Amino acid sequence: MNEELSPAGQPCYALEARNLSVVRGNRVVFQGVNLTLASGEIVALIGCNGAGKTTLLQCLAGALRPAGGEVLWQGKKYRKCPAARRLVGFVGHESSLYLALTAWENLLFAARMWGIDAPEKRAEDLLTMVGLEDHAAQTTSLLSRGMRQRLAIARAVIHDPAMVLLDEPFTSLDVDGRKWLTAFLCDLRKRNRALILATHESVYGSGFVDRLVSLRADGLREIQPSPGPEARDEGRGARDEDKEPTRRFLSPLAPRP
Amino acid sequence: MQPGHALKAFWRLVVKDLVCEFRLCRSWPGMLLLGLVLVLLLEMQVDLGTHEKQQVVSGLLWLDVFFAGTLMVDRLFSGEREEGCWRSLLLYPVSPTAVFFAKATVTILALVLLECVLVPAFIVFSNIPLLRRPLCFLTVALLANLGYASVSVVISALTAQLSHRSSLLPLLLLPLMTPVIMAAAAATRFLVAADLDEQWWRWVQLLGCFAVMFTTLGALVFEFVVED
Repeated sequence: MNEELSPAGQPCYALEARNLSVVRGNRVVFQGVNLTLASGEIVALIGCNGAGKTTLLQCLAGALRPAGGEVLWQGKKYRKCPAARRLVGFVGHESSLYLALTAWENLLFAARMWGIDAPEKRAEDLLTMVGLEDHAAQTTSLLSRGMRQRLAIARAVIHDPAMVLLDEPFTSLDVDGRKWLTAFLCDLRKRNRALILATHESVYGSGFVDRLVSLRADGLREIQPSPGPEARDEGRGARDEDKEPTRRFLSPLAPRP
Repeated sequence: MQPGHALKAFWRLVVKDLVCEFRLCRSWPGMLLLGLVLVLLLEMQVDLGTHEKQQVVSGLLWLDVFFAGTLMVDRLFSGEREEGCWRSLLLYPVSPTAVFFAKATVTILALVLLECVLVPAFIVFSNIPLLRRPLCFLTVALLANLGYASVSVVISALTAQLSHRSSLLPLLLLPLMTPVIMAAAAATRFLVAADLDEQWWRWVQLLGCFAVMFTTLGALVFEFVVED
């Protein structure tokens, strides 16, 4: 985990949310959300259904204007600056793919819209990276849900963003797909990218997540950090008293606070 | 944003929309079919002499274009919203104004195609020389299409995420389009009568004013309409 320092000597996070709040009609989705995300860090965002995880990610990505608070990208408010959008890659609930275009055309369109040099080569490389090179000429509507998810992830990172926000990325992926995505996210972390993923998966204890935060109506709550793979390999797991809050937050039957 | 980049983005969006429409045939075939059916129905019901027909055909033509065009306008943004493409489109480093003009251009191309089918159909069925002055007619059509496209892009974006989009769209569009339809119909009536006097020119000027006004306003407000 690397934190860049601004000229004032304060840590400059890749992404920072300060006192964020979103209101939908008469309903307060969440308020008082404070979050920092450093380069080379993976944060998992969990919460009950309807807690506002998707809404929070959309706010952080600049796709949704919050009712209150601010979002800073690398220390500055860049939401309305088109050039700064290159810092963020976003994988939402929906695939954001044009079903009438082929897999290659979707990536090519994205690469050209981002102004990438040699967009054809970049699209081909991304297709190979996500294992869809054999389906390049296939219309997206004919791809399976899992393939579309891979393609959506490729589309989101095609411009090599500094931060990647993923909303339930493991959805529709098979076992191999999940392994691939986990390795892919770890590789992004090694390349000093900041990642935040909203998930219902039991990533706690998997070792590849640096922090686990839970979204509630009154803000974010950080959960005990996961023991790293080294600790697990040595046979030392989390203490029982640390596991209990995790079980409660991850239990699908947990009452909504 | 550099103008060159905005122009390239505009062009890519237009090409993307055209490719998607030609592959899926979501709205254009329905639009053309509705336009032709309306021509047939109107011609069967309107049993007037030549002089009276000259007075009404121009209005019927532009009403036909308007109602058939709403089928295409209805699908202008719903295709983007289906797979969440709209949100990702707004996250690209592209000005919403470029998106507005791209959508308006696609709309104009669709309307030109519609008019290429409807105008000959009206000429054949009603025996009215709509293309007596082709350049003048093209001028009227271009201005009418521009006004129509500008308004419809904004209204379509506004209603795209509503559940009653299909019923709400024509209700919002028709009042705004009324001056455009009236001016286009009046200008076309003078063309058909080969009466290109000062009155014809005034209608064209009025049509031009509406087209410029709607285009300017549409480009300015579009960013706020699409912001979530």
